[in-house]
Amino acid sequence: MMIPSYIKSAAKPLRLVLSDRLAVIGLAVLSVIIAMALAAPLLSTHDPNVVNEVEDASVLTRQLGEDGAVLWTLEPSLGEYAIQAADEDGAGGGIAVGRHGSVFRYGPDGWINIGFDTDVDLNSVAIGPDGRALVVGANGTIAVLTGNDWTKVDAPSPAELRAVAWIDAETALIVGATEEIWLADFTSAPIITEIKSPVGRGFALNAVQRDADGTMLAVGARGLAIRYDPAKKQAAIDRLGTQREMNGLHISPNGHALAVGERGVAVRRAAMGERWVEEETPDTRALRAGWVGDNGSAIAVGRNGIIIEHDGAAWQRMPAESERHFRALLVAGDTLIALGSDRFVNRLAAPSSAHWFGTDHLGRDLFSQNVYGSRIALLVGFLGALLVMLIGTNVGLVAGYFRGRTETVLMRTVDVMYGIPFEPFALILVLLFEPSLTIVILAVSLLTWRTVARLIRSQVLSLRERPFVKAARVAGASDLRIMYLHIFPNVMPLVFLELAIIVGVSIIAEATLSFLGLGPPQSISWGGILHNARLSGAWRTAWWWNLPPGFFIMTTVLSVFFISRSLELIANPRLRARQ
Amino acid sequence: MKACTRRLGYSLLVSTALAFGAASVASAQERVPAVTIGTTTEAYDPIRYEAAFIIAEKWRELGLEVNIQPTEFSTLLGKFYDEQDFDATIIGWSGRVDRLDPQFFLGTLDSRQSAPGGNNPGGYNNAKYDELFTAQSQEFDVEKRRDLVHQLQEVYTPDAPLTVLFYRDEVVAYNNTAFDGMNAMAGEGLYSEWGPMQAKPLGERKTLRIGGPQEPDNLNPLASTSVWGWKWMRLYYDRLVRLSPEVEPVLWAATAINAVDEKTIDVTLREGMTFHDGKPLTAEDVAFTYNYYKEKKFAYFGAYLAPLDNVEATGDLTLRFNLSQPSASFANIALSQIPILPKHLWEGIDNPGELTPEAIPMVGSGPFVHKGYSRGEIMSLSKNDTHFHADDIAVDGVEFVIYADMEGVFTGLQTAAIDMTAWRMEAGQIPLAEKQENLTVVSVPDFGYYHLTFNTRRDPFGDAATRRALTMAMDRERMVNVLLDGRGEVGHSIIAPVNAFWSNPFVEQFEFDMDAARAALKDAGYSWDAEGRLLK
Amino acid sequence: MNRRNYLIRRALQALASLFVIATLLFFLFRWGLPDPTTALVADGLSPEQRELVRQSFGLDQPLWRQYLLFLQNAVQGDFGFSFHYRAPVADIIWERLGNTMVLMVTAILVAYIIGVPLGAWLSWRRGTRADTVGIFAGLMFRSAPMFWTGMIGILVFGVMLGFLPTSGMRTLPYEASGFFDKITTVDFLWHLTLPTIVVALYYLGSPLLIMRNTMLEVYGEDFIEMARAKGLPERTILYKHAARNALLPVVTQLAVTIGLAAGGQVVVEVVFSWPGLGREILNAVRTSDFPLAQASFLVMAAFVITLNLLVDIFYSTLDPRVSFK
Repeated sequence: MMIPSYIKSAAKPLRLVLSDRLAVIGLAVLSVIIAMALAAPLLSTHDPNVVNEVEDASVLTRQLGEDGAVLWTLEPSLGEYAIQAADEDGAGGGIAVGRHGSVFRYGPDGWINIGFDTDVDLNSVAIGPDGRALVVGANGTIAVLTGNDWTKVDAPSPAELRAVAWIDAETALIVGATEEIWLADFTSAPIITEIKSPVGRGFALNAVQRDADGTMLAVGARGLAIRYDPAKKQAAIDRLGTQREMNGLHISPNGHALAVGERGVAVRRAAMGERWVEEETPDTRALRAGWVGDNGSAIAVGRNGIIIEHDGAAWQRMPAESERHFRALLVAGDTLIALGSDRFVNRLAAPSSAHWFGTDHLGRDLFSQNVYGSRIALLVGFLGALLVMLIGTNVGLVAGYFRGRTETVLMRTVDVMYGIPFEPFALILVLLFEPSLTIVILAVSLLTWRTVARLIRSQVLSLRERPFVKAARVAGASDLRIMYLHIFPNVMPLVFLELAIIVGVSIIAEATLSFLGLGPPQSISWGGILHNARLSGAWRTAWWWNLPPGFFIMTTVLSVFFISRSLELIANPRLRARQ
Repeated sequence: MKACTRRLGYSLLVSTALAFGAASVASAQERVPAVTIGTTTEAYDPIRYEAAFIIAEKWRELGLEVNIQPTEFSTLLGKFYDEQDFDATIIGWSGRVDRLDPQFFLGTLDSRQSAPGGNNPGGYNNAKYDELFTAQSQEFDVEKRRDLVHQLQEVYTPDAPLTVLFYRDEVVAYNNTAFDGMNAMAGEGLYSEWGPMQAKPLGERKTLRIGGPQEPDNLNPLASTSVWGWKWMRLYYDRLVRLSPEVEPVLWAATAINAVDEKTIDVTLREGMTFHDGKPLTAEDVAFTYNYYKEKKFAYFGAYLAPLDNVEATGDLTLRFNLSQPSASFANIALSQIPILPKHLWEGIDNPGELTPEAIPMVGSGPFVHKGYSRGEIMSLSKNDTHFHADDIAVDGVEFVIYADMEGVFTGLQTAAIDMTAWRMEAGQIPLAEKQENLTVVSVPDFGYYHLTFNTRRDPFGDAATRRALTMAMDRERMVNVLLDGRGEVGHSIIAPVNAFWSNPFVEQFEFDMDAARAALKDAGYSWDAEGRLLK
Repeated sequence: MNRRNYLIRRALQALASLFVIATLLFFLFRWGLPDPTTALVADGLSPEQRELVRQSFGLDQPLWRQYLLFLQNAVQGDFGFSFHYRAPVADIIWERLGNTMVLMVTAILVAYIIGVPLGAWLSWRRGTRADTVGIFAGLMFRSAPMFWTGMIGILVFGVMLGFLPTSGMRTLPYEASGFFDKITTVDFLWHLTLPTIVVALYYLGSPLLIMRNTMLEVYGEDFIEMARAKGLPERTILYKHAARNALLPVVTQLAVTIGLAAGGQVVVEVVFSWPGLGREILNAVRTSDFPLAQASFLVMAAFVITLNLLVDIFYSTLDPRVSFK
């Protein structure tokens, strides 16, 4: 007999909600967000945690602006695999090779894709005096390009070959990642001879060049330098005066030499036989390739879009249109070309068709993060609110109904809870346990039920003096029965109203904790996205990073508040009469 | 593409596992229990937090079950150092100038420091290492000591008790229209003790304004235990020796330091020095300071003063330091870190740690004079015109503006409210600063290091072969490239390459190589089950 | 039970609550938070050296003795020395609390001064477009997290337009030194502007809606009908009769809000680098600075409990159905 009254009291708010325009809008928006949370894996375009990286055969050329300022300008991409090395042909052109068997020829008509017959990674190319190009790469790949024809050469072992340079028209020196030094002789059928390294510890050799006196100089890991004398057919240790890994080497015909390496190291030699001098460079990040002319003018390129030029006095960082990683320099006549790019992180990209809401500082897709963020918000919002209502309503009912000592104890507890500030308390919980979703929900609910308990209690206080309660008591109804069957249905409207408000409050509370970095780790939430944005220091420029999450929080909470407002009408019937 | 290679690697792994599994006694082996990597929360340090995920991803590919546990920093420290309750933890040591001497970092692998609370929580225990460590700490011949230090690095690296993940560059910036002559110092950035002495004002304002995201705990030379406190106090207290920007010891308040024997050091003071209250500075003051620090057991200097027995004034300007044990680093480190306090103001204070801020005598003899401190807002100093170094100082004072975080500091720099940052900028601020004409961005290599330390008391990390294999499976190159945007360097030794004199470039380097890691695990007696999970 | 006894009883209960909170916090911190000297490991301190520091903090004493000492001192208003700052805790707290209250009270008052008349006006224009827009705006600012509106505010007014300061309380060089000198400088007020707007917008919704709704209720009361019958103009009825009677719940809400304001809005202090108590308490908890954290919590609790007590007493005198049992 009492059950229908429950249903009635539950159905009433629904009817009310549906009769209020703002509430209907709220309900619709909330449904959309709930749908978004449920369908997050389908809706998101990327894995929200994945660092998005791009590999690209990037080409930048050196251009002079109208004001004479240098700008390295991004040219159309050659393909999807990074260029690793290039060499000029002495006639204003050159050849570039790269990962995945990429080979391109640069000439008067621009770039032509030549291609290689396998997709092995090619690491170096050297064009000989007769125009033959020698290409080396991973797995002991050695090949000669004559015109457009490839001739493969068998290697003694499948070593990772890093660099190659011609000694004369018929012989070349190849160096590899585990200290291989191979002499290739093309006088008749190609013959590869292994030269004994003077070090023999398996250190990587990354670059090799023909020096002005006809000897060959190879550089590599730990600042290692090895000089090979073709006359004696022997290799000996040389010194560059650095212990950094060297990545690139270039020697001009008259003996100017430049070696560049990790940590922005550039060492130079003015002429054959002079000392190598380490020079100060404007960045500490890796340099990968260098070029030095007979007059000592020099350029070096490195990772993260670093292009530095030596103006005779010092190295200067040049503005480049891209933050890509450069691997090679091609000086083809008057044209200066920087080539790259290994996988680079697509950081802080503005919204585009690939990333609708752009990317963050680690190149993660923000649209997907925002979509997934709805899950935590709703989970904490609803779970927290339910928990709050459960505690708050019962405490309020019991305290209001029984009064006396029970009430005192319960309401003093509420007083104590009121005295505890939210954020510091949540921090203590996090320090006591580990940061987790449970902690967040616990923190939110432990400090919110106090309001509900108070409200319900005051309502119960006046209800318990009403005639129908007194009548039930006279009729011999038990306390529990009176509390839950007589009084509770009358506070139901208030409970619903509070529930809706608490959902909103919980969502904001969760966002606040996540913004302060106290949220659950390894999960994505709107507050957490804003936390990252602020922490990274990039939020002033990356508007696409900090606008959407806040907007989502606002919309969600607002829609909940709209719904709650219509519920207020049943909690307070006098209002309805006047509306 | 990525998923594709992973799947390929996986199936390859499964097939090898099956092939070997059939031949060996794999069925008798058990799954390796899950390991937990402890790291900081994302809020405390996003770099270390993300680094844990990069490591875990590759370890999981090896078939190891890995959990990641981000923890609030103080809890993390407690679990790591005090309770030693961890499997593997990512943490770091900051590069303070006094740590350029290898003593401290090398000590973190000494088994005598492996008790709870000690600096070697991983419990690495190698008798040969300990022996060499003691030898180097007592070796006065610097070349011989270097050989020992190089040997130490070669001794521990093959055992891989920890993996040095990377050295992170400190990227700071200053306003090049306001000041010139800013030189960065390794491990200190621009806010070194020389910074204010070398800065040359270019504009109207001659007071150098430094902005930092934190403030000192306090400015009590007998209570402050924070870097921020001492970085400020060293500007108005003199020391006997200061370390130069090239980190060479430079005579400062002392004019001569002679080691009479291994345990006796004679020091002669500069003439004519006075404290800021006008009283002369004599050998009595210096002797008093050292003895006072010893007597009050000021913990922060405990390690520096441990080898010291006492100091006696042998004349107005001469002193003798008596050590209780030979110490190779004492002359450089202790003499350059202990401030000289005025005896007449401190001798009556029995409980210096309990002084209220107003009661602390802020009187030193240094190149700057303490002017004011408004907690949470600003600290200021004015130039000491009577100081022996005064002619070389171009600024008329220094102010340190305290902000809530680097966001505030960066805004201050952008709006020219401050002239330089005292702390590294966040990754997202660097490109903004680079684009701004009047800001110069300086990248300073650090010799402090971030590391993952294995708990060698726990399986499976008790076994060096396992640690070696797992080190090979750490893509540290990727951490530097992705997390640091290239501004840093993969680490191979606890003595960083920027500390060129002591660093050994020829130690074993564990290049990232999953195949090698798998092979190493197999050699160490591991196998894999049909799902690719690691067994032993 | 008479009214005076009731008041005494409630005051005692409030004190008891504070005592319970103090005790809870004392033990929670010491059992739950990491050792305050742990962070010193990073400075290379050995276990023996850290033990010395622990002694200087008085942490080597048995827990019960520490507790008794804490209670004994707290009763005398002495909250001890901060571990971190090595300065009396009370000094630090008053300073930070002052900063917090200046911002929060200003913002809350601004919100109420605007919100109350606006709410009254909306109730008068109920059902019109203005009413809907007003409700929408009030709820919208209530729904947007303050740290976000703060960030947007900094972005627009500080970074893009560049005419409002975005962090801290003053610009260099500082002239004023005392608290009241400080907060009356133009520069300080200028710094106060943006955070005040952000906080006030957030709080605006509650006086607005409470006022509007109570006014609607009051319209139904007999005395309004009487006034109408007397032929008084609507405006007079609205502001003189209805508003005066509808103010009660708003004032209550104001008291509760100010009570909670002592804790500050940590996020606002973070976003605007405002050196308030909220941020300080987070730091104190993070660094296990027990004396400072305990005292900060207690001060906040005392604030809330006192204002709640006032509200309670206020209500009990107004609603006869709540008897003094």
